[in-house]
Amino acid sequence: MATWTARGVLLLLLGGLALGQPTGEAEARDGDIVVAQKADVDTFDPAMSTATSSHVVTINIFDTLIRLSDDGRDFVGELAESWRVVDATTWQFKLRRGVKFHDGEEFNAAAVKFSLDATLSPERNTRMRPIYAAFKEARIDDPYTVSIVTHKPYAITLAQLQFLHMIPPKYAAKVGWEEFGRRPIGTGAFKFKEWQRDVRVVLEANDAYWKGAPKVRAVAFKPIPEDASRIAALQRGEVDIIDAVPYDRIREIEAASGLRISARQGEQIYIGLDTLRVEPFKKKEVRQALNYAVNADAIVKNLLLGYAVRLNGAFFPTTPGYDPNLKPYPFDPERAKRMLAQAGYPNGFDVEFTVSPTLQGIAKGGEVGEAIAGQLGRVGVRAKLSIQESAAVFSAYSAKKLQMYMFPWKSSPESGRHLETLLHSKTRGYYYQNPDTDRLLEAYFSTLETKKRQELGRELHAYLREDAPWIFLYQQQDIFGVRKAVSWEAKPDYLMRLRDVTAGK
Amino acid sequence: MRQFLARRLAQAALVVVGVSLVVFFVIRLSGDPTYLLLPPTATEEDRVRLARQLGLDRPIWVQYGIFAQRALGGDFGRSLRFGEPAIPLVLERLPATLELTVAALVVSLLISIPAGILSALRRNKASDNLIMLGALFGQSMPVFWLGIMLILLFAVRLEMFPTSGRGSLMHLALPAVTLGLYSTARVTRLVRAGMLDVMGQDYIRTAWAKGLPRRRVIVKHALRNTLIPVVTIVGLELGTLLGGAVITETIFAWPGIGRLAVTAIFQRDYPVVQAVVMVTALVFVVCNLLVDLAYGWLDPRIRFD
Repeated sequence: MATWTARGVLLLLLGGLALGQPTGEAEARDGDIVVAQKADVDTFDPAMSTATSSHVVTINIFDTLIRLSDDGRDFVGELAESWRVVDATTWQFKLRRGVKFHDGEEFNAAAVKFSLDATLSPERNTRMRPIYAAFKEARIDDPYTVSIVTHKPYAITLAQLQFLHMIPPKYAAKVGWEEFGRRPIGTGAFKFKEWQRDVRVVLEANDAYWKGAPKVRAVAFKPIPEDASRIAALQRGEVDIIDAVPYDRIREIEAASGLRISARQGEQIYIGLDTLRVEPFKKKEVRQALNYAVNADAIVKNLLLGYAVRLNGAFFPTTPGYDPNLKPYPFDPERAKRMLAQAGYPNGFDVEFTVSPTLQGIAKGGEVGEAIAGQLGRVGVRAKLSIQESAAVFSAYSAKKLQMYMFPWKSSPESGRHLETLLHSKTRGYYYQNPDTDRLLEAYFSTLETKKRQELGRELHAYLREDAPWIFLYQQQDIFGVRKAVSWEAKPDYLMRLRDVTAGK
Repeated sequence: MRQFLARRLAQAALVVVGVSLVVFFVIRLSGDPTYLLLPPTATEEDRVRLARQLGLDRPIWVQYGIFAQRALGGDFGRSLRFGEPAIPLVLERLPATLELTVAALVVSLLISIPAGILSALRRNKASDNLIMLGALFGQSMPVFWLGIMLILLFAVRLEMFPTSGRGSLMHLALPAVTLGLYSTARVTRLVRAGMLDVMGQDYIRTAWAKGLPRRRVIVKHALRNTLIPVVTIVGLELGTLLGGAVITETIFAWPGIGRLAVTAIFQRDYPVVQAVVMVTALVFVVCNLLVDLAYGWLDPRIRFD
């Protein structure tokens, strides 16, 4: 009786078991702290990547002049010891002395100038260049004093500078940008050691760091794209910190004995309306009616399980001028119906509603889109849901083909930069142009004096809420899973500085 | 033989050109990368400047001409995301994918051939029914679900294997099984059917009648004649496996070309997508050629002319 086949199968099974002997202790780790992110680093050349997954890593290798404070509202010095506004377009920075790059090259005003020039260079046409569009130049006043000059008075200069990584002029000139993108050198708390694409990045402690040596010897970043696998790696103890935990897995991580959750405020989700081409959306009353028709609180509670904060307008709670006393649009479908009827749409209207669940950062995009389409349907607005892939949505967006679309925004809420980018008719006036908004925005972004800017912000905030260019929704949270033995907490600058982080057993 | 080879190579070249056309146009029609490469504050002007720098502002046929001309010289352009030449990015990940694909194939054959034979020999008995039920399960399980279940059971709960990544043989085990099980089901059915067919043939009856040992009849006479369709399917299966690697590599964070392709597609990193698809097409075409040549070795009656 075919005993040899049976024997073969048996052997195979035994072999499989032998191969599968318990490894016991998870094998040699790549670092004292191992971070698993959804995506790998694109390049270590800070000017050539706009991906958060890259910046999370590079901030440990490079320093910036200033950084966002932990409450997400103010800026504190890093390589800049102090700064002052010289005139409306000039900001002067006094630099920290005695700071050295990892190869011994000295950090000074020339390095600041080089770093800004390298980003602004028209020949390189860097990816980060658009962020610094308002910057004219860096002027060396003396070896440790540098002035940043903007084209026009620019209130959010500091907010933009928090992204400008300081790079060593000599080393960059010597190895060229491509090599620099593979083997970076900075002044940061960790030195670059190894990068195996799609496998890991390893950094080792810079004991000569100007703030003092890091608490751990080595840190590693691993890309694990699949959410379930990333969580499994955390549960198994292979990694210490993971990003992008889906909301419905939070409970499970909180319940595990050695694990905890760390959260921070993330993307603002809003629904943009084409106020230029879609007839009903040209009327302010209709746009307001839609804001009354959507039950954002119910979405936050039931779909997002409470991991989001309802917003009362286009401002983030940390945007200067945010008015906490302003009430969000209440859920009032009756009122919405009345307003639609008064505006000339007693029977509602049809509109295409574009949603992309693959758009990075939108939590449960598909479900939220369906819920909103359903709520709008109840007041007679027949929103036809069109689910598309993210790059396709972006193309349609810039081609001005969308009627109504759900988008996220996260970058730099403390500056309010999104308001200028999304709502000023000269920047991205694809779907909304309003001279009054433009005027308010210009005043808000050209006023350097903090108190005055707060006042202008409040005025802008109230005006936008009333003018309702969007359906205002909420700010969702970014969720991280962390091993309890590791002291890291999520910070509002969306980065992951590991110098002060300790790791126990 | 030589004529056969020449004809097959010409066909292969046509296939490759066809694939290049499809991938070139499909990826371009599906979305614009400039948006994804720039920060959200970028203006229309910034995007136009970037498009010009990347050559994306020219007519699409001109772009294809430039692409085809360079590709012939092995230059697929620079990755939009990494800023590095696309071909090395693919080639440095190819060994990982081949390792996974071959391991999956080995897993698949090690299980399916004995299981198929056993099933045929015990036709309609309990073990046959069990194996066929298993095959049904294997084929209906989504790779994605199976992979995650294996991770949860063998890596998280039993702590036998690492959850993901590449390195030792231990890292290879779960992804290879995940990827291999799918084709195992299909090949098992094929071997079973082939064996049943062959076992009824006159020459097998003759072999039995001659009093040859059981093992010799099954392996030398029956199995060898079953292998031709199996080899064909294995050749095609390799394509399925390379395709399945896209999912498996993503689940297990395996640093291969499938995962590279997924990221590149989402980022609309045209040069990398093109390079991955072309390299995969080449591998596939070469494998099919090898399969054709293997027929001659397995069945001396087959002539290539």
